[in-house]
Amino acid sequence: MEFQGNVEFAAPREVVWKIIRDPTTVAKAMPDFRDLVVTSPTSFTGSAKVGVSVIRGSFRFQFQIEEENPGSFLRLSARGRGIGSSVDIQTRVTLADGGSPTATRMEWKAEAQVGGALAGIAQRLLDQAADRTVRDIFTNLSRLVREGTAAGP
Amino acid sequence: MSAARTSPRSVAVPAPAEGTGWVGKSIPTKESVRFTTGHGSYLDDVKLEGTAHIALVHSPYAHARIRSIDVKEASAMPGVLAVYTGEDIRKLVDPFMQLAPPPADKVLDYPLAVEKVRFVGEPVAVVVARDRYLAADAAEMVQVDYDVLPPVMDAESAASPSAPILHEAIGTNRVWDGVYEYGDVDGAFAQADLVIQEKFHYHRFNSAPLELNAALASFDRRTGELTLYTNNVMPMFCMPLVASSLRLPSDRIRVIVPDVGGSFGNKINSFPYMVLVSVLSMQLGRPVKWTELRSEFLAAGTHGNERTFQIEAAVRKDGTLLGLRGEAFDDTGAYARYEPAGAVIWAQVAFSMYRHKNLRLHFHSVFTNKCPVGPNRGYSRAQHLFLYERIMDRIADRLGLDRGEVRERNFVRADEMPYQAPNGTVLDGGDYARALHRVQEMLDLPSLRAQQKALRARGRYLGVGIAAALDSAGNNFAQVRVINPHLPFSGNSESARVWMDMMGRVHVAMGPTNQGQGHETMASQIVAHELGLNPEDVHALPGFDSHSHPYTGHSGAYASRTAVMGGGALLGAARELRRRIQVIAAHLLKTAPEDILLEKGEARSRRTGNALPLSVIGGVALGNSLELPLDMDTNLSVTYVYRPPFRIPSHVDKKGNFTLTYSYQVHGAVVEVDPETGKVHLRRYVAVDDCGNMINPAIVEGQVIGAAVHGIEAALLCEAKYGADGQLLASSFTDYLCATSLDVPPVEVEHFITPSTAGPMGVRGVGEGGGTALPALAAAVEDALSPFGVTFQDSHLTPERIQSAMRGRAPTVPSPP
Amino acid sequence: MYPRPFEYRAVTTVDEALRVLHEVEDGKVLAGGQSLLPLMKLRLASPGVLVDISGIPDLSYIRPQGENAVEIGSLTTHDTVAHSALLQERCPILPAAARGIADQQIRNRGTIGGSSCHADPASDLPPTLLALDAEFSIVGPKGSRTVPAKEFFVDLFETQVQRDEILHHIQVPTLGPQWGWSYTKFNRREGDYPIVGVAILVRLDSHGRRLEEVRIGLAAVNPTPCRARAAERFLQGQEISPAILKEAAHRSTEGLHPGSDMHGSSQYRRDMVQVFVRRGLEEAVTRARLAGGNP
Ligand SMILES: Cc1cc2nc3c(=O)[nH]c(=O)nc-3n(C[C@H](O)[C@H](O)[C@H](O)COP(=O)(O)OP(=O)(O)OC[C@H]3O[C@@H](n4cnc5c(N)ncnc54)[C@H](O)[C@@H]3O)c2cc1C
Repeated sequence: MEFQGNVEFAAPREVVWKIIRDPTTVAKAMPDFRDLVVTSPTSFTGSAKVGVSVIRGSFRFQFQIEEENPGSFLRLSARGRGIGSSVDIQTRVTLADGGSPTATRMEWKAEAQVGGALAGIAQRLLDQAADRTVRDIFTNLSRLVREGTAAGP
Repeated sequence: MSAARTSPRSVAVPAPAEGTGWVGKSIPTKESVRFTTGHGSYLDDVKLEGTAHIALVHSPYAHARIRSIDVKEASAMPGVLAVYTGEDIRKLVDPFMQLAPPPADKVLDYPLAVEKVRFVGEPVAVVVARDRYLAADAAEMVQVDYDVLPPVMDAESAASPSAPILHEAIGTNRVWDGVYEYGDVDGAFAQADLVIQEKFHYHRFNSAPLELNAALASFDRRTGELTLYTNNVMPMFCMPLVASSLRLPSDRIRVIVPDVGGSFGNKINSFPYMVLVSVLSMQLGRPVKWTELRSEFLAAGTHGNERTFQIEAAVRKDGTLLGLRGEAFDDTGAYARYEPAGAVIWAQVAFSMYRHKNLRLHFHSVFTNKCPVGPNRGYSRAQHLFLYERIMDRIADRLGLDRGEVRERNFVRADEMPYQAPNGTVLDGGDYARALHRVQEMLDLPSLRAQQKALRARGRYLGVGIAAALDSAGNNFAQVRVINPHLPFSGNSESARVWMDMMGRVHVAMGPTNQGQGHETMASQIVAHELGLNPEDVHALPGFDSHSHPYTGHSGAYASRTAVMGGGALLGAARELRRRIQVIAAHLLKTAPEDILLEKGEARSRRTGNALPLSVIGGVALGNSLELPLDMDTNLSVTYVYRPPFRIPSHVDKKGNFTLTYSYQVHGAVVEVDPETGKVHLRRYVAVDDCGNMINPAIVEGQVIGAAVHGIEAALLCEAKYGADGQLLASSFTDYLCATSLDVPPVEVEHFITPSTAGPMGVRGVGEGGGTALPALAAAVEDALSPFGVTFQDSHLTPERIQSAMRGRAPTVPSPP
Repeated sequence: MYPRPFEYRAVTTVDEALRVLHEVEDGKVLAGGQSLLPLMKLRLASPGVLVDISGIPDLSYIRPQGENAVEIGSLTTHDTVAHSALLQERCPILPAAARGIADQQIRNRGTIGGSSCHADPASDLPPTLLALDAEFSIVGPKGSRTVPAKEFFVDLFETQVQRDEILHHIQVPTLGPQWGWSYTKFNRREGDYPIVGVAILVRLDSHGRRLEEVRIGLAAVNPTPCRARAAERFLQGQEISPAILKEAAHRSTEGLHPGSDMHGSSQYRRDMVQVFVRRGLEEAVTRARLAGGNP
């Protein structure tokens, strides 16, 4: 399952980069995130509640920055496990100059793979549920960037 | 053949004694009373004080390396007694013996995954807790970290050298590989008027026993004895595997099988779980129980062998099949737990019911990242029989001949029986063509064809499909030496014990476990028949217990064998007991043993009419024995082992008598297919079955109907389907669709009776049904849609598969005459 | 089949239910349990507190609301809906849809309120209620409100009913004699959730020739049950002909994003929507003509 989107922020690339590169931002963008532990400069862990409506469970995530080019590119993998299932998300975020000198355009692509109990039982709903979950995360992320940039450097 | 001409439903009985002919009677099954009134005692009904329960942690990945397993949190949860990983278990048990020859014999298979996971649902860790809820709670807390690897999801690509390897220890995904060649195959192709090329796929499915796998182990530290309760239906065959894995001498293991709620072969592969609960019980010093969840059964129980054929058929213009050649790929899943036996079992029916002499099949058994396969009703033969039936249809269609006529032309004829096929197997009687005719009659084929024509004119598509198949019963285990000449198995045997107590009551116990087929009734009928008793008065011991039941290494309920093999043992034991009773009675009645007739619970002198109740015989022999001469045998307990005459097949030319006896059946299906949706509506289903003499025709009928429905649901509803990423899609009953009574019309059954010339009592065995419904339905759907010119290569026909084959096609309108 | 730990509270009045839902942190209403309990047993759902409302006596009823409507209490079971003489007379599409749900045991337990609130896009009643323009009455801490069907279903498994509210009853209209209907559930096996479900209502002119109004509810093709608005608009006012129905069927897939599963890919579901909208329209028109005396 692949999802993508883009959004423009009224802030320069370095500012946006700093925010999205920060594990706490990622943590806040995830639904009901708890227990953030930064395990290395390029990895962190924590748990989040994933799912839609009543079908929802706690997953432990391991985040790993697989690749980065400060200010322009980030590849982040999130490997989650819970409720007899696995949720693996590979995300690529690209930052580029936006319409104005102080604006930044963020494009994201996410590839999600679900395994175990959820993959079988919820197959018909998986696309839709994953679509919604991933979109919510990026909506949150965008909001956090906006809030962060509004607060000023 | 005269018996075969008796009218359908009448039953021939081996010389029934007047008034006491219980063999051949449709008496209600004795055990059904306890099963239907809630008094059956299944494995989960066995309660032992202090039992601990387990929950398994499963792999969500099809293929991955286990990086680490963190059990700290789980171990600290309330009620948790212990948590074991595959690595922990590896230190406590030996890996399971492998049937395959090198290099696949080096595969390391343990009850839990070690180092790698190889299919979705594979157990990687186990939590032992006070109850199942706490165990399940803690299992969620076990943290497994994986490195995901690419999965291999079909046998053909798995066999390619570039495929990712499942078992690095052997460096290949090939479990077994070999060529079967009989006759002059290339000569046959040189003579052919037509060569048909096809690819067929026999899909993955299994069965739906109401009771799932389960095991309860109780290790007594005082005696060093392990009591293992299991619902494995071949427990004594598995015993060497279990004992050697546990490093226990077999005299320290007592096996008890209570009532079993269905198996269809699937439960034979439960030995890894038997070892798991046993080792946990030995470690923890208390009973440990496991009962499988349906999701576990579907993901990690046993699937039937999924097989792909790439095949060529050499055919003469008149529809005669001259030869077959090609390749078969068996997708055995991630471990070879009964495999690669499937790579030879099919050869029991290598030529199906047909006379052609030339066959070359390159058979490949290959590991893939799916659930391990193993016996499933019609094990390895249904796949092969499907190939034959589809080939017959193709021959007819390509040559513009009638599908029935082509079968008839190729069938082994009644006057050729017993018939030895080119690979040495012997078909022991039957009239295949007549069974086909009877099915055509039952369906009233001419009027069906008229109806089909009328409906087509209105845009409705009716179709009829007829298929035939063999059921082989009483396999010769030596056939596994074709795949591995060093395997220490051969022949087949079964054991039964019949004994009389002091009160003259008769008891019987035998090796095969009872999984609901009515074995207790069948045994009672045979013993009652021989001893002049009422089956109600014969006490058949339920279940199996290695301390009280006789057994051989072949014992078990599998391969349609119990009536044949168990029947032979029961007959032998009952007859010997009868002889001993006659001797004692003759002494007491002052007559000759031959003069003694056993009837209505009495031993009677035919000559004088004087009689003694059996209670007197039992009482004298066992309690008042000085009434008898000291040299007279007073042992009224007879154990008899039935062992049919087999030879060891040659592993070089792969020829031999692989099976004792064959039943056969012809099935006919009438379907209507909705051409817009692809949905198949089954309108009628008829079956003619010949399993030789029937001990209890009602039981036979139940087996025939059950096998038909099993095949129908496999063709139309059930598929153990995986996604390309290795996820099991049919992971619950929401998606693994078992048929209900609303999906299947009444199955109309008729019986032919051609007594077997090989099996005891003329019995041929029944139960598996050869998967006949799968080719019958594929044929019916093709027939319905013949105006569209679509054909199907798969044994599973989903509406979408049919609809997409139809897309863009318009029906050809028959031209006016 | 071993759910995570949960607390269980049985309530006997609506007020008590609302009070408990308000008090507890992680409460979830339990009605017939035929959707919630299977999810809990699979551990895919794990509410902290189950608030069992099935013992509230006054939520299970079917009664007339004047001449033009029927009110159905949220605890009314599928079986009761399937056999209601009043609904059969006034709103027969609803019993028809209820009859095809699962099996008898599940119909004995499952409720119309539970089916609506669970909002599984593949359920049979929600698209039917959408086509009927039903009204949903919700009670909560701030009193009660009524929500039209087109607003009720919000997203996948999500409705207007908030965590501390309960669905009280549903009101459906009386269908007059000029109305025709059909409910088609297409599945592989009897009683299963549909691969597609199509609820259709048509209102004809007095000659039985023209479509005055058409409503098409669809199941299992979007994150929520939905209406085939483009097809409905297209048909409104049209003279009935095979070509028109076919064209409408074609338009009925506009805006649909069906998910795929092993029983039907997204494309297959779209194809099936077309087949069953066309057939359903034909069936509904035939019924309307019979009812209106224009066979
Ligand atoms: C094997 C099986 C097959 C099925 N097949 C079908 C089918 O073919 N078609 C179909 O439509 N359905 C099917 N169902 C689902 C069935 O119809 C359920 O009854 C229904 O979806 C839920 O109703 P319930 O009363 O059981 O609700 P519950 O399971 O008790 O609750 C479901 C959800 O609704 C909430 N809820 C319930 N009542 C209220 C209320 N009054 N106010 C607020 N929230 C409430 C609960 O909190 C929960 O989140 C099937 C179910 C099973 C187990």
